Amino acid sequence: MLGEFEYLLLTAAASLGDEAYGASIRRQIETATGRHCSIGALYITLDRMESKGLVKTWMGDPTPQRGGRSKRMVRVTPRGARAASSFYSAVRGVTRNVAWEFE
Amino acid sequence: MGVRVSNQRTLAWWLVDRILRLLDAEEREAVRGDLAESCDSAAQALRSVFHLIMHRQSMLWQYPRPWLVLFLFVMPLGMLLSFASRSHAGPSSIYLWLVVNNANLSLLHNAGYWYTLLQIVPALLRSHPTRPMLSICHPTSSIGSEIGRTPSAQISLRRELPRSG
Repeated sequence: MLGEFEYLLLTAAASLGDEAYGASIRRQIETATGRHCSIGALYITLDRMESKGLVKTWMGDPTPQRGGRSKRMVRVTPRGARAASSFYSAVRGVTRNVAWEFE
Repeated sequence: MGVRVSNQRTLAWWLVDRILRLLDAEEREAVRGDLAESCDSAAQALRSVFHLIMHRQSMLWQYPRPWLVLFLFVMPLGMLLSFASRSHAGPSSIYLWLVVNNANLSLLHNAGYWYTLLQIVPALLRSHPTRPMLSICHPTSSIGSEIGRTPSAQISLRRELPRSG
């Protein structure tokens, strides 16, 4: 079972497609959650998920937008997609009869 | 006030740059690029990078080599050095105290003072506990420098990432 941050990371990477790399995933997560996402947490989680076979990462070519620095590109593997789908189904299933209301 | 804040910011970014050197070259470039794209403050960047570095450094201790080096070399040599220093500190501190405590401007111009000093210092260096201490210092510093070079040269914290896969 994925953790919350792992699911956010997988979903952000999947939605970005070929443009998924460290900084863009970070922006996506921060926009979606409204919370700060640290580079350290992102890279450490990426390492863990890669060792589990949920994502694949590689060094992209240097780009002039970043002062000629390479990007660490990310792609969700089929295993990662299955894990995210299973997590989403679990969240939907457990939330079915719950209406979150705040007073 | 503004200059002070600016100096602090510059110092924080300088620190970020220094501690980033603890990462391997590829990851360092990727993190630098990500920081360049982000709107992080210097303090946020410092915290993030520090977190990453601490994690990477702690990963080193998953391997047996640092533990072996710690228990086989660092701790025994450290204890030997400590005992040798302690046994040497007693007699030498008395002579050094005599020389330092009595020093004043007029004495510094006295040739006899310098003559005595030149007699005492070589005698201290020749004294019984000094030699074993110096003989420990050399291998300790050599092993220390080897250990310092080992992680980046031989222990890979992260497998090398393929290029443009």
